[in-house]
Amino acid sequence: MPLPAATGTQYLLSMDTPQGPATATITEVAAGLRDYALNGKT
Amino acid sequence: MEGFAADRVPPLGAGTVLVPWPNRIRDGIWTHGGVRHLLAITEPVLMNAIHGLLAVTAYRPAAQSAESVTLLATVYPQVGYPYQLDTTVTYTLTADGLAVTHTISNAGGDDAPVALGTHPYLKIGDVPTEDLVLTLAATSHIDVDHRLNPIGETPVAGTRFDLRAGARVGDLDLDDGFGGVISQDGRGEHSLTAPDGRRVTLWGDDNMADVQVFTPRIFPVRTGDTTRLGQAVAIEPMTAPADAFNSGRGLRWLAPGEEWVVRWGIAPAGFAD
Repeated sequence: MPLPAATGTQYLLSMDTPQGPATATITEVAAGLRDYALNGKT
Repeated sequence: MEGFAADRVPPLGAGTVLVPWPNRIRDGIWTHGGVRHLLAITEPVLMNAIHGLLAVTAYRPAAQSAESVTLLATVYPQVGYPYQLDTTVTYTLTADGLAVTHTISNAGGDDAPVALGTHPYLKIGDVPTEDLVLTLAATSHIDVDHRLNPIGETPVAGTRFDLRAGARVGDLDLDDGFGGVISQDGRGEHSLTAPDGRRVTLWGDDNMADVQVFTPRIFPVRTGDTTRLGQAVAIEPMTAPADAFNSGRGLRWLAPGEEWVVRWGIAPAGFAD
């Protein structure tokens, strides 16, 4: 679900992969890739 | 990758989509068909127009699932760029990493010049960026003037810009463009490798024939709950080098109604416990 933030709406993605759980955070500003992490580590 | 706090704007362009041009346009001026186009100067220190027209645009959601999101934004006709583009970007988590797909469609009535780039700062866990080894699959260096606009191109072989065999990031001080990205099976691959063998590969499709490497030492690096200014490394895949609107190199002209698709992604390796 989108989360409000000072930089605009963010989109949180998650998936289990063979290397562990993966997550990504995308901001609406410039469609920015704010974070991508594997096993909780960016 | 180097993230940033939710209450901050993307530092040093982190993670942003660069459309309809990546990198710089000298003086913000470009000419086509005898018409001189004047863009806003968005890099005042160096008097260039930098990183396109969507850098502060709020994209709109088009589709979302647990693993994927598609956002869209329109480039409206404006001073210096009298064309309309419909653009989308789709981020998808896969078993292999993060895959990103861009589409650019010419929604206007005239052929429109377009190029694309992205601006991710990669890292590997809490390994100091200085200790990562950068390997760049590029065969030429874009020589630039003091305003970082191209003045030539030199093969990297035998120069300090030959990063094909890898170099420690802490030994680099780059804000440099590279061309001749080496493609294998339709992908060019650049990577960062940690001392423990973990690796993050940034790949681009054959459209991404150029790449900028930026190694600022003033990036707000996060380690745990703390943030300090330190070194980061951006590997910026691009479909064209700086000033492509003037040189024409790598520039794509889209006919009315034509769509262009560009793909890149991030693939980690060696992270499994």
